[in-house]
Amino acid sequence: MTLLTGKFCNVYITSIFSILLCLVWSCSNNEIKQVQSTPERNDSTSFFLKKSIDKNILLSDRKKYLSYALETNSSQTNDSIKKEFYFKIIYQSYVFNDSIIFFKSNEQLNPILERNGKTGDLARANYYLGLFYKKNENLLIAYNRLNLAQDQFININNEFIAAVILYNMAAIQQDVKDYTGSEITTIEAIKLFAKINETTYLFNCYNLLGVVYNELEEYQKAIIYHRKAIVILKASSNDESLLEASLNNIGLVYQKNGDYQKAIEYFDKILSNTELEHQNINRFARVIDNRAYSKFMSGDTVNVFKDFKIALKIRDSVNNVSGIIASKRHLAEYHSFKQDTSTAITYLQEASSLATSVNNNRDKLSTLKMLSDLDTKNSKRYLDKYIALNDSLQIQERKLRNKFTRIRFETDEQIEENEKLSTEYLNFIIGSSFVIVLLGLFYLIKVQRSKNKALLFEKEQQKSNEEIYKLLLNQQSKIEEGRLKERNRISEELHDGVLGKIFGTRLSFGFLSLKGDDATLIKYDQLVTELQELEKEIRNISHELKSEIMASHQNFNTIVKELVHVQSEIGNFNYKVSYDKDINWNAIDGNIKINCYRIIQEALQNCNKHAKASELRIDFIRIKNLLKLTIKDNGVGFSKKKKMKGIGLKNIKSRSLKMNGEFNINSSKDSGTILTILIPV
Amino acid sequence: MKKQLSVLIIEDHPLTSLSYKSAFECVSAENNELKFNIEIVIDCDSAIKEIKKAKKGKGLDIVFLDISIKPSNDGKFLSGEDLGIEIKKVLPKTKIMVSTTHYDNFRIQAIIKSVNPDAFLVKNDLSPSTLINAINKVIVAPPYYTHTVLQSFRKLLSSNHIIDEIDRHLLYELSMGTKMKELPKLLPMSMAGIEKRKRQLKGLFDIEDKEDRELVILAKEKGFI
Repeated sequence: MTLLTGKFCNVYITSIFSILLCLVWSCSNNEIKQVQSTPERNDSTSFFLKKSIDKNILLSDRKKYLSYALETNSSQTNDSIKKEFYFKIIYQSYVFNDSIIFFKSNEQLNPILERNGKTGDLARANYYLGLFYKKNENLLIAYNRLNLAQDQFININNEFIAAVILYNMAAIQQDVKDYTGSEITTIEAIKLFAKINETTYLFNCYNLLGVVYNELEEYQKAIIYHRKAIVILKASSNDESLLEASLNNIGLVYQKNGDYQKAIEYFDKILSNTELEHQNINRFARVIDNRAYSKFMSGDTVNVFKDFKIALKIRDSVNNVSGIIASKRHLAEYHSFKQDTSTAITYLQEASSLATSVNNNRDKLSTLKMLSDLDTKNSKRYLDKYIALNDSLQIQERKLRNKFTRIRFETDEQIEENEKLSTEYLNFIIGSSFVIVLLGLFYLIKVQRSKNKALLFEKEQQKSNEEIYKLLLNQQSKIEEGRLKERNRISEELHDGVLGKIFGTRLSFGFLSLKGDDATLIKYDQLVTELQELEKEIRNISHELKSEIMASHQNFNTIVKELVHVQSEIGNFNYKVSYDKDINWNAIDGNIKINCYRIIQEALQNCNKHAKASELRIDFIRIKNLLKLTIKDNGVGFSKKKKMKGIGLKNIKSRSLKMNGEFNINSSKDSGTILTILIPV
Repeated sequence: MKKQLSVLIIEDHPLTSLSYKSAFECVSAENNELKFNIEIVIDCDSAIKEIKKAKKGKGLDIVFLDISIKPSNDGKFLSGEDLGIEIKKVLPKTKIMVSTTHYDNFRIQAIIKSVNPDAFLVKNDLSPSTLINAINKVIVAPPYYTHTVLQSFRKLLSSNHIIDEIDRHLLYELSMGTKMKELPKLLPMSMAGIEKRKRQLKGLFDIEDKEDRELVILAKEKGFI
C-alpha cells in the first residue's frame, strides 16, 4: 500500500511539472521572446527547437531535432540568446530524459554562465539539473542542486519557483522516507505559496502533507490535510481529476487505518464517474484495485477476485509496471487467503522479478517479505534476501537523510552567515551614513558659523567705520575748537590788551604839550593819527578773528575738503569741490553726511587706484528736495562689462540704497567716470 | 568861584587813566571855574570801595568807567557794566562816562539800556580833543556819544525790523560762535524755542533756508548786533 501511494505521488508530481515549467518560463522571460522575434542566425536553432517541441511529430524525430538545435546553437555568438536557447534545449532534453543532450548542453552553457551568469541563470541551471537528477533517481545530487537553486531563487526574490523547488525537495524527502523532513519542507513551501496565493500548488502541498502524515501513521492529520487540499481545489479550479486523486488518497488513508468501509465509500465515490475508464485508465485500474483490496481486507470477497483481475488486465495493457506489481501482490494475498499458496507464490515471484527488472527496491522488498511468509520451503532464503535488501535500503536512506540534513544545515548556516554579514553590512552603512550626516552637519554648522562670523565682522567693521568717522568729526571739531579758543584768546588779547595799551599811549601822546617847530608838530599829529589807524586795524583784526569763528561752523565741508586734499596729494590730481549755496547742511541728517563722506572716500580711492585721473570735480547740488552728489574724473574709465565688479562700487551702491537714494555710474574706456548719487533730503 | 568836582576814573590801563586825568586837567586849565578832584582805581573791588566811601561822603560827580576791567573778587561785579548799574543805583546823580573798546551794536545798545551813561565813548573814536569835548559836554549838557555810537543808533532807528531783546541776544550769541547746545544756558529758553526763534528771525530777514552765518551777517548790517 505504501508503495502505491508513493508511486502515485511521483507520477502525479511529474505530470504537473511539465505544465508548470512551460508556464513559468514563458511568463518570466519576455526579453527572450523579443530576441527571438528578430530574424537572425538563431532562426535555425529556433526552428529545430519548435520542431522538437511539436507533439505531432514522432518522438524520435523530435529528439533528433533537439540535437540539431544544440548543434546550431553552439555556433551562435550572442551570449544571451545562446544562453536562452541552451535553457530551452536543456528543458526539452529533461522532458525527453535524454542525458546526452542534457549534459552536453549543460557543459556548453557553463562557460557562458561563468562569463556573465546572473544569479537567476545559475538558479535556473541548478533547477533543471536537480529535476533531471530527480527524474533519474539520483536523489542526493538532485536534492543538492534543488537546494542550491531554491536558495538562489530566494535571493533573486523569485518566491514562486523557490516554493516549487521546496515542494520538489519535500517530495524527494518523502521518497527516502524522511517524512519529518518532508513535513517541514512542505510546510515551508506552503508558507511561500500562501504568501503569493498560489492555489494549485497549495493543493499539491496539502496533498503531499496528507500523504506524509499517512506514512507517519497520523491518520487524523492526514485526512485533515487531504480535506484541506480538496477545499482549496474546490475554491479555485474544481478540477475533477485532481479531486479524484485526493479522494483516492483519503481512501488509502482509511484503508491503512483499517476503516475499510469508509475507504470503500471514497473509492466508490471516484468510481461513480462512469467516464473515468476513458479519462484516466491508470487511475481507473488503481481505484478498482484499491477498492477490491479494501473489500478483501474487510472480509467481503464478493467480486474481489474479478476486480483484481480487471485491474491487472488494464495495467498489463498499458504496461504500468508498478501497477502490475501492486495488482500481483494483491492477487497473491487473495490466493494465500484462499489457501492457494502456490498461485500466490507464482504471483509474488512474478512481481518480484518485475520489481527487480525496473529496479524498484521497495516493491521488491514487500514481495520478498510476503514470499518469506508464504513459501515455507524457501522462507529463510527469502527472509535473508529481504533482510539484506532492507538493511542496505535503510542504510542508504539513512545516509541520504543525513546528507539532506547536512545540506540543509549548511545552507542554513550559510544563510545565517549571509544574514550576519548583511547585518554587519547594514550596520556599517548605517554607521557610515550617520558619520557622513554628522560630518555634513558639522561642516554646515562650521560654514554657517563662519558666515555669521563674516557677517558679524562686516557689521563690526561698519560700526567701527562709523566710529572712525565720528572720531574724525570729533577730532576735526576739537582741532577747530582749539583753534577757535586760540583765536579767541588772540582776539581778546589784541582787543583788551594791545588795543587798550595803544589807545592809552596815543591819548597820552595827545596830552603831551610838545614844543617844537611847526613841521615837527604836524609830523607829531600825523603819527598820533597813524596810531589811531593802527588801533582801528588791530580792532579789525580782532574782529575778523572772531568772525572766522562763525565761518568754522561748516564741519562737513571742511572735512570733505580735507579728505579730498589728502587724496589729491596721494593721487596727484587737481580738484574742485563745490557746494550749492542753497544747501542747508545743518538741516541735513548726520547719517546722510556720513554716507556722502564715505562715498566720496570710496570714489577717491577708486580714482587713485584705477582711474589715474588728473582732474577731479565734486559737486553738491540741490534740486528741490534732492541732494545730488556728482563725482567726476577724467581718468581711464572702464568698460560697462566690468561694471559693479569691485567692492568699492558695491559699497557706494549699498550706501546710496541705505539713504533711499539712487546711484548711477557713467563710464566708458578712456573717457573718465561720472558717479551720480541722488539722495532725498 | 571855583567849582570842585570829584571824579573817579575806573580804568585798568595806567597810561589810559593818566590820559583821562590829563584830559580833565586840560578842561580845568581851559575853564578856571572848574576844578577836579580825581581818584583812579584799576579794578572793580577798589572801585566799589570808592563808591561806598563817596556815598558816605559827599558823593561823586563824574565816574569815568571802562567796561573791560578786572572783575570783583566776590564775583558780584563782572565788568564795568555791572559797576555802572550799581553806581546808577547808589549814586543816581553821578554822571557816568563809559569808555570802551567794544564797538558792536549789540553791546553798545545793551550798555546804553542798562547803564544809560551820560557819555558813551568808543575808545577808537577818542582823540584828546574829542575827549575834552566829551567832558565839557557831560558837565554842561549830557549826553555825549562818539561817532560809532551815533552810527549804531542810526542803523537801529532806520531799520524796519522789530526784534526784541532775546532775539538780539540770540543773534549776538550766534555771532560769537556760541554752540547751539550751550544757548539754553545763556538764554531763558528751551532748545526748541531757540530753534523756533532762529527760524522766525530768518523769516524776518528773508533768508529762510540759509545758514546761521547769513543771519548774523545780516543782523550786523542792520545794526542789531
